[in-house]
Amino acid sequence: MVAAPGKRKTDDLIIVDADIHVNDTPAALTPYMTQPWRKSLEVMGGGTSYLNVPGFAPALKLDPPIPGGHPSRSVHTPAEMRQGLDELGIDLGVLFPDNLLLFAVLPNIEYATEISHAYNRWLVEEWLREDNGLYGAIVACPQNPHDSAREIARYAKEDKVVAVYLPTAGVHPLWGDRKYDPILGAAQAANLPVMLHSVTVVTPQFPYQLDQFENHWARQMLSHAFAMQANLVSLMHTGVPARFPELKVGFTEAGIAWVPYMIWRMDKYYNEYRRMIPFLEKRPSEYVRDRMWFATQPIEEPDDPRDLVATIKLYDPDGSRTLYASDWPHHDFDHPKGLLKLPMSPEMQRNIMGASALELFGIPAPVRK
Amino acid sequence: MAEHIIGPVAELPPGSHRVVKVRNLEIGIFNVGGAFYALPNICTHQFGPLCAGTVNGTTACSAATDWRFAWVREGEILTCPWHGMEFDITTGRCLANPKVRVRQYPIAVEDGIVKLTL
Amino acid sequence: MIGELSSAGAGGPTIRPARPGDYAAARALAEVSGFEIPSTLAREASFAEVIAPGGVYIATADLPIGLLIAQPIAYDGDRPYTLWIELIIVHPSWRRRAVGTALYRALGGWARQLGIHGALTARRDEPAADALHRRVGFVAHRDDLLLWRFDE
Repeated sequence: MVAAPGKRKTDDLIIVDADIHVNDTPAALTPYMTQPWRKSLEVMGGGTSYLNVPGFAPALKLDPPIPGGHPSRSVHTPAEMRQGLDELGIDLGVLFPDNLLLFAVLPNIEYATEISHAYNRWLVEEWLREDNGLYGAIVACPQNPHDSAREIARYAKEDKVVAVYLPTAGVHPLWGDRKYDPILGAAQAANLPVMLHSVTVVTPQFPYQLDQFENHWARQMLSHAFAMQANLVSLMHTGVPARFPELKVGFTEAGIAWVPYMIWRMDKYYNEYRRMIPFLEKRPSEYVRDRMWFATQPIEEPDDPRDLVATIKLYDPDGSRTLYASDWPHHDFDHPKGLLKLPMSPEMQRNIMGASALELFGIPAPVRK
Repeated sequence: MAEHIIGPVAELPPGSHRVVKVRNLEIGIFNVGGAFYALPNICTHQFGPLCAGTVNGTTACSAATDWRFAWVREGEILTCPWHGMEFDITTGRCLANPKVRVRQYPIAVEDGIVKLTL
Repeated sequence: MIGELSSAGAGGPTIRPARPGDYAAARALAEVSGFEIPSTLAREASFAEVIAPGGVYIATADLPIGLLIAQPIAYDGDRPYTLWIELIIVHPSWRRRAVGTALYRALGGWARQLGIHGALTARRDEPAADALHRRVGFVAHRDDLLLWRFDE
């Protein structure tokens, strides 16, 4: 197993990264695509930029480039990814797509279905074949839940497939709708956690009306965080935690400070409206504490770091439901050192930096050479 | 602890309830299908007048109902008039947070008279 | 809080949780104070039950001179969640010496430690009782109640 020797003081600490991104260009996926859609990818070719792939998503760039430019990175090979993680001091990581973060907005069901197959095959064949500390989340296809359920069953026994990624940006209806039950049921049967991941997207779906903001800073404030809150509520309001009692759910790329707010709010109105959601047999916060995990990136950066630790403890006293995530190689990635310096107990640190993820993803603890 | 006479059982038929004052504490007296229950008239949530609320049933939805909504426990559930928090009259438990329950005072019928011990 | 009061004045009262053996003295105190005997003091046999949850405090200066009886009216698991102040009495010769405040402070310390939600009592038309309750932190609630929230 790969380590990052000499790179950090806490050498006994296993660092697992719950959210890293591969560059899934149309050119990369082309060989894995069935016809006639391979012909579509051939037309698109390579040379695309992050989150702006025509056909994969609305090619809607609302902002001019940031004056003076802005850092942008993409990772095209496992070796590049391994090198990036080594430099950050990260032992293991779970791969998510880049361009397919916009997957849920694809309107063409046949095309979306085949793209999901191609991505999953490409991921397993090109990224998960070596013992390099890279694990992956296969993409679920909300456009075709029954096919997606079969796809999940197909990969259930792949050792390095450790999660099902639920495309969350622009998904409609939201996760939790009963039409997606086959996907959640298949993930539960495969003992794979489902991971919600969003991205900024301007669509007529939730969180819509982001077009009214004049710049991307504003859209970034709301897009991921609202998507996570809305989908958490959606999962809860159709009784997913009760209907799928073994299903584990992860929330990524929205930070963590929204979690206490939402669990308190859900509990408060559960007091009053319990009759509307009688499938919940306990308070929403208890389901959250039992079977939901939250990835740290983009971690909030209050002036006093003790405030951040206190905030995590509001929903997760020992760090066992919180997952370190870098979001490497994206522009807003979080270096593990930022979290390592937080004032918390060694147990909480061990959990957040890796032990929680090993448990959630069922990854055996790596043995250092 | 002492016994307090609430009244003749005929004045509290099944399905009825009433709030009485015992010394200075208000207590709700409930007849649920012939069995009597006595709870404080103070909700656990924001201390509203719990026993002034309505008594009826509640919804259920689980594997036992084939995941269909059902109406269950008619006459056994008390709903606080302030925020609608539900309590099981027969156990005092809050449905939304079953760890929390209101106190149940001993109450019984003797020679046709309802008597509360408090 | 309790120590503060004990050391404040020479011969000042000590506040402590009630014990089963306090029954006769507590009852005598209620009688001499001119209060209607509450049901919690009606029988010696049930006094141990009354004090078991922990919200009953005695002020003593050799003999008991103050008594506070709080009873749970709701529970969170095995712990009291809401309290009802059934009575607070101070011996006539010890009034206006902050004994009532000290009894409530002891109760408040215990209640906060247990995470108790709040205590309520009936509002009374007595200026001394009213002033005491306002000093402690009770506020008017509903038509005829006073509410003391321990989380404020």
